[in-house]
Amino acid sequence: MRKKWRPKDFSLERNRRLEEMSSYMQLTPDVLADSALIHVYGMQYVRIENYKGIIGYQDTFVKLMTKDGLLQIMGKNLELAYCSDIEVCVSGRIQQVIYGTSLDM
Amino acid sequence: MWEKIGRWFRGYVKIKLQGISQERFLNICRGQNIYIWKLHRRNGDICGYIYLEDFWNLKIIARKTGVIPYVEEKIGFPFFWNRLSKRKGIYLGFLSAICILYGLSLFVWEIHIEGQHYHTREQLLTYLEQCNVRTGQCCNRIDCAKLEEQIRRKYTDIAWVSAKLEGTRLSISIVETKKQNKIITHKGGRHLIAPCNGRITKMVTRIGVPKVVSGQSVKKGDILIAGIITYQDDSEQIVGHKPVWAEGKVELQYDKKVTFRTPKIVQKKKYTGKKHNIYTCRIAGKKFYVTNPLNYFHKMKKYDIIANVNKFSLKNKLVLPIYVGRYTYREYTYKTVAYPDTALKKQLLEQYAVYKKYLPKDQQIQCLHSLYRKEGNDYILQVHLRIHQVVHAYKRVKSKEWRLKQTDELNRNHDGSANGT
Repeated sequence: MRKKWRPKDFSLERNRRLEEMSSYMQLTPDVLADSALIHVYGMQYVRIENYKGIIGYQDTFVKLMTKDGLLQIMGKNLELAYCSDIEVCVSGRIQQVIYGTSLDM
Repeated sequence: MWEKIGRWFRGYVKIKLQGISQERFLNICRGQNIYIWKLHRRNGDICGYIYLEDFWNLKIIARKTGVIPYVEEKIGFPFFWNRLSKRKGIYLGFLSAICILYGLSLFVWEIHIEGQHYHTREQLLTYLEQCNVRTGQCCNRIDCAKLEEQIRRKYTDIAWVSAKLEGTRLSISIVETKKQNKIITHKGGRHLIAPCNGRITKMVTRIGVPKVVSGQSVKKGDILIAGIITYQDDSEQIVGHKPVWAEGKVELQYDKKVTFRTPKIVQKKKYTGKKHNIYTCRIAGKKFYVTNPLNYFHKMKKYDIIANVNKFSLKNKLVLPIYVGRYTYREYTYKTVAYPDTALKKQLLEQYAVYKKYLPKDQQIQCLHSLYRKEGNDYILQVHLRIHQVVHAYKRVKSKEWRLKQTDELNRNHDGSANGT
């Protein structure tokens, strides 16, 4: 059976190169590669910069799309403390921060 | 804190998002730079806060996503002002406040006088009151030029006067002329006498007859330079006497013992750190307190009251008869402190320095020896001083001292008839 043609995914390769370049230039990877920057403050706050959008929001989880893929924050009584164009802050009782590739997760 | 105040002034609303694609709604808001905060789930709906000006931009997004934003709560100054504007009393109060302010600005509420040295402020204020210029006087009735002229006429030693009305404040600046020294008329005669016991170290006589010489010891009240000049004729017979004001430079030297004492154990004031501020307002002589000051008196046994009350004014122009300020009550207790000897010596030396500073200008002192000693609870410094003083003590010359007795004078009766030989 003939194998179905699929476009090659260059994004991972590109991100890796940009991260290498930023390390040569002594910059943080998020500057050139535009990768997500995640700050976790204890169990109460998670602040995510450079996110692309909100995929889902419930009391127990928040799904966010970043350049590197899907990011899921699990917990209880989750709130979006603020939500601007470059960063979002999730507050509540944080239990897990999961990187995932599937949107059905 | 400042962020919350800023939000309140801008005005914001609490919204509830109802619909299927709520996440899409949030993403579009993010794309259009609409800031949303405190998003939380409630019964399947998303609730959050949004600025008032951003709320009007939600209309297109809501139509696009099918999510309806319901307003649950309106918070902030625009809504507050809107509520207030419906009440006529607010406008009336605002208008009456402006009217009162305007009415008060028509009167003089402060008279400021500067530049006076000889004449006191009270003296000038009393005169101004006679000229119908007082606090509470209508500004229109005050003629500054006339007032300047009146002050100049009344006080001849005032060289320059300036009166100007700045808002509700009348400022009067004056420049006084230098007072001329009183011309001393030397009527009659004066002896120069010794003010105390001592020894003459220097003597220069200008007018009068010297009675002592340099190096001689004198007692208090002794005549140093006599104020009587004797006239003689060619045959050296006394013709007459004339009283004069004795003049000369006489320096007197005497010894003096001075004692300075300081207690070793003292009750020193110590602040406990407890203090209470009471804000006050005084209008027309009546005081109003924000909190009752009597509530705190029983708690503090001893306290200092520090008053910081100022007249209410706008840029020193519009001065109103309202005093606003603060009274601070600082509690203290007395603590017994025993000073060490070094500190006591330092205190005594400070006392001695003050004594030297306030000595009369015509006195010079020389310390012969000093002695520290304890006497009961006190610590004592005894200084033996040698004082050189220029003498300025005078004694009036009596008429019987210089008038010659007329031996051939006839004793007459009241009717003029001669009685003697």
